Amino acid sequence: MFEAIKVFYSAVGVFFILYMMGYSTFLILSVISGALDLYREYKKRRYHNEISHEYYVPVSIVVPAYNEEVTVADTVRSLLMLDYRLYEIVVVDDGSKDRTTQVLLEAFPFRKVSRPINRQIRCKKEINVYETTVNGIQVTLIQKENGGKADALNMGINASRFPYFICMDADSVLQRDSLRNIVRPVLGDDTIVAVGGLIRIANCAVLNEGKLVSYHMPWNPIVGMQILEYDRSFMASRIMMDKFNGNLIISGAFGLFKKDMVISVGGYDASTMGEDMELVVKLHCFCRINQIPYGIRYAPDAICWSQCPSTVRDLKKQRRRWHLGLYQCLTKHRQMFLSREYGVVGCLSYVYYLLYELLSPFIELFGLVTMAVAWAVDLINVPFMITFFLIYAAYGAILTLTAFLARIYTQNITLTALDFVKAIYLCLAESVCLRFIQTFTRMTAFIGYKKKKNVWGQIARQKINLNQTPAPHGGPGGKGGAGN
Amino acid sequence: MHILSIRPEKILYFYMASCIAVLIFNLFYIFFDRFQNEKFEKRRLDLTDILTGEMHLLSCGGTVSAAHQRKMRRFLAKPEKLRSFEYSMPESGEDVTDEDKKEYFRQMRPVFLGLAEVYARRDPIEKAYFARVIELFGIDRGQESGDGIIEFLNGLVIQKDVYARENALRALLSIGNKDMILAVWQKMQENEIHHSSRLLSDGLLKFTGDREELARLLFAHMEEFDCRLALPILQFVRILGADFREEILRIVKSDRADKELRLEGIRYFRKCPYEPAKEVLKNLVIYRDHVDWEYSAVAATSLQAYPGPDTEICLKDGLKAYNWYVRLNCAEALISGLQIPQIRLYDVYNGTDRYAIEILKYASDRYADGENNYV
Repeated sequence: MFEAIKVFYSAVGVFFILYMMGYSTFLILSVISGALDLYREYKKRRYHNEISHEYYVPVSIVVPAYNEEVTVADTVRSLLMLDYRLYEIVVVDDGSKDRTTQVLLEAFPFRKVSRPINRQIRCKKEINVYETTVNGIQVTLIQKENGGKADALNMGINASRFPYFICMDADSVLQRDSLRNIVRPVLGDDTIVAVGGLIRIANCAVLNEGKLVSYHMPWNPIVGMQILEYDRSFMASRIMMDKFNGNLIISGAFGLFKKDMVISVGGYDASTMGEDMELVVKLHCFCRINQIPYGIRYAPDAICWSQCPSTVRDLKKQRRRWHLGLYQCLTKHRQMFLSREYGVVGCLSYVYYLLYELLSPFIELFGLVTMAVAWAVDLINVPFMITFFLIYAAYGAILTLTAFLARIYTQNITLTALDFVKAIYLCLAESVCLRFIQTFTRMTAFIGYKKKKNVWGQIARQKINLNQTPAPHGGPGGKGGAGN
Repeated sequence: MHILSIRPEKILYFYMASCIAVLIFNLFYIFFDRFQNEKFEKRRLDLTDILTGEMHLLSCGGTVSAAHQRKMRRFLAKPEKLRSFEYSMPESGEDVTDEDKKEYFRQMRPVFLGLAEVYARRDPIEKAYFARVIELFGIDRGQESGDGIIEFLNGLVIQKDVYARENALRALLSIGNKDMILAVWQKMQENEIHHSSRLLSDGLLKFTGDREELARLLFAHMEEFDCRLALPILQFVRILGADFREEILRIVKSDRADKELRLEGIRYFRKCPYEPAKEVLKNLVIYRDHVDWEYSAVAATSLQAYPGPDTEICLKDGLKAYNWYVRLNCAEALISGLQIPQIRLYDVYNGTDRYAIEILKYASDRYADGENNYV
């Protein structure tokens, strides 16, 4: 019996060594190649390796809004300040219960029009359509029946006039040059069907008319840890996967898509919580099955400033949604798993998200339980385990700090000595605390899943001050978008 | 060797060491960058004085000294110094005229010729940057024959890096020699280079020589190129409004021609009306069920350049199209293009086609509000 337990523990040991080494190797490769990539990008900017044409790709910006009376008018105002030649804004009020539409009607000279919507993708019915033109930019406001964020986005796509569209959240601010930068990959390669922008946390940045004025590490550790986590994960799952066209996520907060391709795949799926990831996975599937040459890129210099949750409660809400979205997406497209038909996307990207994102909390829980049992039967070298975990945590912290610093100098951000000290302490904290919060949230995400499958957490918004963004740190934030 | 005999913490130590190396590089670069920016500003100011002095000398009938040329040859071989040179050029005014600058670069051409050899061996980012400098200062503007600089640029045009290609193309277009541009197109065709057609057509508009002549030359060779390279030529011709009506009508009529080329041809006939094209455009709207909807939609927009009762009847018929874009474009063409008064649209308003009425009403409302910025 004892021999059987020993064999079992050997097998578990092998599995965990492979699992942790796989993850560590992936992270180190990502950070090194990401740092080199960012350095090259920085050098390109410095030596004017850029496409700066007067005649840009026309773009429609789709802003789904649900109970966004606090931020929506300022979001539209900020969008009107973008440094871009030809674009339109389509705001879709997804049956808000608050004054979202009224606030917009008061802020801008809208007029009601009898516009027939070209329904190329299924979505709920429109109630009213308003239009106006501000500084030569057409703004359309569509008031529709409530159908969820995906449904609102589909309505926005139907109403958009241009061949490319951008999806964004109603509580986010695009940096002034973001449109110009997100379109650049499309100008370089017309087979590109989607481009992801970089989401940065607005809670610690001061923006003036869409330009970054100053940037400091926040005092709130929840916000600070998320800043570092975003930096690391963007390097890992964006820049690295970009190298082999394997990105599975383009954040719903800022992404550019080729409209006809999105229409071909049926638009956003209103039945999932992670509609942004689901759309990208669907685009991969569609192009690969039909052997259409395509590219899904990531533009690290196209920046969207977005508020992040500043309390543990809101953070848990957000991460729960993300995890359920991931689960729905991966199970819906399970045919991709290790399938040769889907190439590197099925064999690498899908496997990465499955093992290191979706299943990781359960694998970690299994690890903890087996360790406890091993300790009980005296099969574990406790001092070694503690040392090993400390080394692992230190490695994680150094890795995060490296990713953070690579991003700082390549984006011309100046940090003070205090910011630097805060970054070091937050790296350590992130490596220990945030991961546990995340693991716990992910593990418990499925509790009440069936009941609340498509319900978005109702999160209070902070008012955007266009001349002095960010919002104060104390209140809740996070991505909600339209909801049911 | 059993897997459990591997010491994972040793691998982690190795990874940690690699990470620390990258971290030190990042830290080093943060400080280096700050130092470099300070140095850049000082260097720029010094260089502005030197260049102003040289240009003064030129305005007094002197020449650029051999010592200055030698110094610049060494100095500009470093990209960071080339960058400070870019930002040091004195503003044109009383002290320095445009003529002085032109003369300075004319006399400095041998230096840039030598630099082309140096930069040809550099990485694509630096190569692309040197190409930009050639364009920015018009180093080879008006050059009739190709030498080292042109060879350098031609080499870049077939590079994999999109920025290198783009900067090289811009530099070549700034020279203003139409034969060189034709040669570039042929080279891209030969090497199967796929550069964005939008960038190519926008680039052609920046040609500094005679654009009409360039259009004629490229159009004459258009059949040599595949659609990706032919389309920008057609776009360039359309934007210029150059007269190739007969030839373009042949493209529009041809079933074998690429769809994008035919669509561009249809757009051309909006800018350059041609009576024989009218019937073709009308047929594309009338027989919309037998052709791709995009032809009908674009043809409807182009028809607004052909006023007349037959066009009006054709567009009213197009309002009944199944496709939303065809309906919208027909409505736009009737209301804002041909400016048909409401009284002549009563037959549609009183008709039974709900979609036609809806779209016409929408177009009328928008026109009444003084908006014409439709797609």
